[in-house]
Amino acid sequence: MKKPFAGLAVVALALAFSAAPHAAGQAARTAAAQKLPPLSYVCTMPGDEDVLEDHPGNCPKCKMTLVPVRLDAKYWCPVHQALEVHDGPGTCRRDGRDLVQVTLALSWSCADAADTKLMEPGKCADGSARKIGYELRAHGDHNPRHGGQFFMAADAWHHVEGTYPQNGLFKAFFYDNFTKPFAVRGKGITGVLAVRDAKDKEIATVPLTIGRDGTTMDAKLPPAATALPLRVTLKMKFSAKTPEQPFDFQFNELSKDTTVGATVGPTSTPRPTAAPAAPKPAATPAIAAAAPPAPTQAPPAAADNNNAAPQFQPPAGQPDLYAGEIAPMPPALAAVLNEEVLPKDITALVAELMDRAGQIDKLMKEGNLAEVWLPAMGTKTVALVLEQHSSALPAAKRAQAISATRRVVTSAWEIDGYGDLGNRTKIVEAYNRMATAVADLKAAYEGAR
Amino acid sequence: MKALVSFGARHARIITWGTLGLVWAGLVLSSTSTTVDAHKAKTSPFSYNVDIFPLLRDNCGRCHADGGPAPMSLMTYDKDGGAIAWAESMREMLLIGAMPPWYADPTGPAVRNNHSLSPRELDKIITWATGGTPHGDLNIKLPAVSARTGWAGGKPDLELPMPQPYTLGPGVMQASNEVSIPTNFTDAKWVKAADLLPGVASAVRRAYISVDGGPMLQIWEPGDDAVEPPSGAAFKVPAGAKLKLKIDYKKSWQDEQKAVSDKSVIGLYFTEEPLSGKSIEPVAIDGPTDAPGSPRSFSGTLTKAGRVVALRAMLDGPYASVEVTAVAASGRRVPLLKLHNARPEWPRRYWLVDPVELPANTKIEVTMQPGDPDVGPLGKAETFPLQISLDVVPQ
Repeated sequence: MKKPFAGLAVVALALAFSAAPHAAGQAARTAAAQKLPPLSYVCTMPGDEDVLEDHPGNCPKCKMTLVPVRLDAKYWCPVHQALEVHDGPGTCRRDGRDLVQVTLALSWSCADAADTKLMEPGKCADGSARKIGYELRAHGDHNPRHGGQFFMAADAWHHVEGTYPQNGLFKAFFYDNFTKPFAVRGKGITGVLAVRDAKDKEIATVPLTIGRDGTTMDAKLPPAATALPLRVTLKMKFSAKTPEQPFDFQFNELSKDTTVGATVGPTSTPRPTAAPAAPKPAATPAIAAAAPPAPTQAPPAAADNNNAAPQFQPPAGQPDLYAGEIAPMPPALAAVLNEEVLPKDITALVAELMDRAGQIDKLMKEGNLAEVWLPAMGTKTVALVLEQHSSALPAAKRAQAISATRRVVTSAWEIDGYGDLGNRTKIVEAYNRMATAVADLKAAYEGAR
Repeated sequence: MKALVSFGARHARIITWGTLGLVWAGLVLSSTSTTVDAHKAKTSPFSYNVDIFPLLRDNCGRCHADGGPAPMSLMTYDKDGGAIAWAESMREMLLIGAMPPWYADPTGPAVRNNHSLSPRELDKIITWATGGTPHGDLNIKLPAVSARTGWAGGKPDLELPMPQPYTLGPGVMQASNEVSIPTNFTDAKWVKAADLLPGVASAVRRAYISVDGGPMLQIWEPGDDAVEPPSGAAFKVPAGAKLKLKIDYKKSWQDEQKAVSDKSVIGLYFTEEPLSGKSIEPVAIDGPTDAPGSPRSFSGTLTKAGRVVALRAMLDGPYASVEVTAVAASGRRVPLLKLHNARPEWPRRYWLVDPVELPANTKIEVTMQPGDPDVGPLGKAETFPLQISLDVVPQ
């Protein structure tokens, strides 16, 4: 599952399709209050896609009047994106692939003025229901396209997916902030690939060459440095003026590019809509009603649009994430931040702390740097709840607990920040700080009830 | 494998100040970096008006308010920049522990006047800064917050102004000035606290108030309270003594091209002579001068028996940890001070909650682990010759 957010503005392609409502689901929707995602305000000027405000006004960058949108975390098919939009995780009815999470802008329109985007559902002049439409937001989709690992550059514009499709070949795919492939050729973009051994020592450095289609860069590894698990650092310079940026990848197996027609090897052509590997299901029920059951054949999109007013129903036991007019929070993040579901006693909380910290450890060992932030946030949540019990500790232990909790908080945020950028060195440093802090926290609460 | 994007969309507002490199998310921007002015998704459940303003007011408002010593006010959401303009910087400073500038480690000996953030408060502010800095309920009218003026501890028993104003001319950003101020005391006086009322709060970065040839009465930092020593300890100021006032000035960038003229005032708070009749005396332990920023281990000896009431650390760089330990002849070790993420630009005095009695010839050990010199609020840190000082009441 992917973290949505958004910062951005409208992508050119408007995708007007619906989340095929099931009859029962529709009844539930009708019954539900018309709770919509909050209005956000974006700038439509190209280049200012990152402007996102919670109130009307002018673009702080170009002074244009901001336009309202409603952002929501949704799921769609990795390949047939436009055809299915779901409220929660599931599988694509078209091809059975796992849905991926994206941040979409919701709007409604009527047939007689299809270009007029309305911010509420309702009836059109002819009595028909307004039709819901979705637009992909920039940074709304950080899912890999070729079975690799996906990171964002520090400039928040370049994105790179590293893959290891065949023994001895590393292939990097490049995307813009809308996850569209872009040509690296002629842009002055350069890079090298360093292969590291299990102790992180660089054992080979290989130049990157631009692939035939101009949107990928390849590195042929020396025969002695091709074994799995493969640990490599892609060192990219996106322009002559920007500093070199490292992206760390670990491949425990060869990347499986399930793009139709994809071939491996230096001549392969990237397809923008390849399937990523299966996403992990959300830890808790997703926003809104579960995805409708999959029919054997997908219904025509238009037939789904009746009165599909999107609404928000917090899952049982979950806080209302839209309260206070905030942007949609990914369900998996909401789950790990939820303090209500945590145990009430110290022993169980410490066990939960160690469990969540263990998830970080596992991901680190797998080299899955892109996901480490989520259990890191979850570990922080438990640490903060544990702190409420610190008055039960003797003074020295309490001081130890406060110190450790503070370090869990800061290291969790460091992991969160570094995770996007795929910088293993920084993540490992932050992870080591967190591991020490978690151990200290456990020691502080040892024997306390 | 899927990729995730962390809590806030990575569209941070990255600000660099002139030649000052700011580190964000592991990205070290060069001194010539431009401003990347972007916005984050509003994912924070904490908003400025409801959650963040009270925290900033109570913990940062002494300095980061209109007219305060810090060059930016955090007491408004967006007026003249306001908190949102500094959110990314706040996040960075909080993460590295540079702000609030209070480096006492809670696992070490307790020190007085603690003003650190709780882990929960820390997390709230970082969540807000990372999650799009939402404004919150616009119907909430926040009170105007101005910087503190006047004496923090009430009117002092004696005010000693600088004899002459000191002027930093246009273009002069930083300077130090030392003056000697006669007390004209006809009898010895006992001082329990010394304070400074800066003439130009935005330019007085730090002040050292000492008795000429005697103890350091105060290392004054912006936002400080005048703290009374524990257990009735006091400083003796002899008859006819002069006070030395050394002020480190640093203009804010807004005043760079203006002349700034300062005439600060020392405030003294008197007390009765302690029963022991003994004054607090400094015991300084100089550190090595080579290879600043490397791990440190050095020691000194307390030649006379005494009661340690406070410690001060002048640092030659940022340190991840500083530990000062008393080692008695028996081998018994007693921790005296523990700092974490200590920054050299805040060389304050830490008063112990529980003073420590030490016999003569106690060894004082100092061990320090260096911090990351590339991160910090002001690029290259302002540094000092390494010195750990104990404030001791001799037996």
